[in-house]
Amino acid sequence: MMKYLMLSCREATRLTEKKLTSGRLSLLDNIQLAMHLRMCERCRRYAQQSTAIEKVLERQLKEQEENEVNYEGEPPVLPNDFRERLLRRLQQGDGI
Amino acid sequence: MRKDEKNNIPTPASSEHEINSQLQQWVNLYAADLYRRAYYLTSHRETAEDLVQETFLAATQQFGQYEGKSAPKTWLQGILNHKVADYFRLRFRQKPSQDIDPSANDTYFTESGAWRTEALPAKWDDSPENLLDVPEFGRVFEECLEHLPATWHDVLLLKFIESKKSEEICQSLGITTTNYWQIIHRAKLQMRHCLEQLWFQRR
Repeated sequence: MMKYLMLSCREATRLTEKKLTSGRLSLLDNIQLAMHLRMCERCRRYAQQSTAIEKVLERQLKEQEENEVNYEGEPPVLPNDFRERLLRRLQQGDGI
Repeated sequence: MRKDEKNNIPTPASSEHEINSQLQQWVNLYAADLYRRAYYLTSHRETAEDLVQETFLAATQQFGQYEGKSAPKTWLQGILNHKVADYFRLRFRQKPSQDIDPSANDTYFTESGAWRTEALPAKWDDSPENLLDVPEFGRVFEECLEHLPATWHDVLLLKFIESKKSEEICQSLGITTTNYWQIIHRAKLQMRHCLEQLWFQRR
């Protein structure tokens, strides 16, 4: 029975990601994951680090939308003729 | 452009001419910011440029739906997010096979599913969340994101860009949820490993 309930580290980290992304696990998955994490320090560490990575990613995407990201060196700049070309397409009624 | 007398908010324009002059103004005001965003998400100049062009063309078509409830820039960013998501999905679907065999070429786990010695998660001195304001860390983080295989990168970002449920994302990608978790799992394992190598073990 115990052997049947024990997850491998691969499975435990996979369930960690499933839980992080979907926000929920089946009852059995939840129990199995909790049991594994209680006994396995490495997978506990993985879960903490992965959760933190998730938060950084979310915040970076959000801050970037608000243009707070600092770029190393030159920020990507629109080509000089971009506006001209776009305005021409808009005027041609390409989008309408 | 007519203005609402009380709030000074642009009312929906009716004529093509009005739409065009409004859009021209928005191109001048927001195209550069939208381009930076598109470039950040796709890491490719021409793609970013195409996506911003498509965003403005779509904005022209959807102009009648813009009610002025959000700032124009927010509205345009929403359209851009959809365009980027469409691009990610197209790129994903163009790849012949997205199946990941969980045991094949596994650099992180042994056959029985235990951590490989060289892949064991090490203790990090600091949490990434505490490093958000350190610009160098932000750059390492981006570098690691860029190192991901393109489709993994796209799948990982999709849920943040569109904030849809997993089932919807899978449906739009044409993959099973099992496959979806598999990809996210692989992408996160690699991200974690990369951050450890490029940041935490070098401190």
